[in-house]
Amino acid sequence: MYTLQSIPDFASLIVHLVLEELGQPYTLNTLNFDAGDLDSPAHRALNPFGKIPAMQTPDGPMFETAAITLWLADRHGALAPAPTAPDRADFLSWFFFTNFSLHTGMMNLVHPYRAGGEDISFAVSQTTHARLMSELAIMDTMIASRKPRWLSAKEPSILTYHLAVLMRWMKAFAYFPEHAIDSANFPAIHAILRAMETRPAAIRAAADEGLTGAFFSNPES
Amino acid sequence: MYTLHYAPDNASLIIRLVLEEAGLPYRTALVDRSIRAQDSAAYRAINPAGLIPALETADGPMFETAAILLWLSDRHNLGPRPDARTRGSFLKWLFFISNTAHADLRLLFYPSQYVPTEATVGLHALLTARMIRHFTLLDQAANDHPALFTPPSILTAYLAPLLRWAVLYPVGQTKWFHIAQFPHLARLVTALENSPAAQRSAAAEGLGSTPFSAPIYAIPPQGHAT
Repeated sequence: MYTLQSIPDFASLIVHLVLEELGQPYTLNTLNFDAGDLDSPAHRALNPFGKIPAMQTPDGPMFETAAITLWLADRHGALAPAPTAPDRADFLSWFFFTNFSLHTGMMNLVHPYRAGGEDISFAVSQTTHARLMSELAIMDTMIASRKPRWLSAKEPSILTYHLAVLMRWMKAFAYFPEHAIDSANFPAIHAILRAMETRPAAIRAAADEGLTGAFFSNPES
Repeated sequence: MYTLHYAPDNASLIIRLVLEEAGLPYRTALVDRSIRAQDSAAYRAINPAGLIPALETADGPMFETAAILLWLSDRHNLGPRPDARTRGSFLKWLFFISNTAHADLRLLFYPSQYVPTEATVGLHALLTARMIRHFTLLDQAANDHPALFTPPSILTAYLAPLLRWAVLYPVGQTKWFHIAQFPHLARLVTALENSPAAQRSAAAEGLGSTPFSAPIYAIPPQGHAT
């Protein structure tokens, strides 16, 4: 049994989607950001940074979204190539690329004022937007030309869900609307998002967190 | 036989330390940064993102430092196995070092790739405050989990170069960092540095004999660090 520290539509959403897809029993412990729950001693004991997500497991508390999803995939033997599989190397390369480069870019697109204040936030957003567009094009080309089973519209993986949530936020929560990134620009990625948002597991997690419409492929801002 | 695509004193150093320590056979292929070889079509065929390092394996090319580390760890049993009770702890610190600490350091070292020039001063202040927090937590973790961090350890092989670069880069803007503030990390990287594998790695990339405890800028026998 897992207990996931959650705030709707925060990074805990990715773990929530993965837990639903795995069909593992879990409890959602929904925290209230405005009430200061992230700084409570109980939450800090699970995640010393006071961030979301954190997850209680029989082996102790975990944090870092991608560490949690990869650990779940390996533990339950689903949603990622196994450690001994021949395509594990390729999968891990793109999984870390998504969590390192695309995730960093998404944060700058959503919070461009953090780097140097409001005055230059537009310029930060513009630089970030250009970089993300080029990184997403690289990924889209890779998917279209190589059709990997671990990043495909045909079956879910932890990577399809990480990518789907990142793309949701780049569209819905870009600080400057003109830099919102529409997944329709990237046909292979778009097809994956459309497939993922029709899966029963994703629909259950999305409903729990109040997500509506085409919540991955064309989310409302 | 692995092929490590490297540039001296780049993130490829992390992979070299692990390959050397584990005694795994590998050859190196220099990526000439002076002509931006990382952007060449030949290199992009191996690593489409154009970042250093890349590792060619029997299962195809890999990129992203932490991805390569985790894959080597599982393939050659260099860290907790997937079914080990300490696996979760290992993964959370590996991802924290990669996606939080290393990601912030990359922004600190190459701000112009991410923000316009006028933002770099503010960004420097923001990131150095964050980095001190990250290293403080890692220092505590290193003390709490000696089995995960004591060399030879994937995590410490990753951390040692990050701590090295914080002493050296960005050139002229390193006053924020003092390794003595992180005594457990300082102890670990000194232990790592004294291993023959680390000394061989340092010699190959021109890092001197105290690459982690008292870093100096690389004087590589071949290639360019920046």
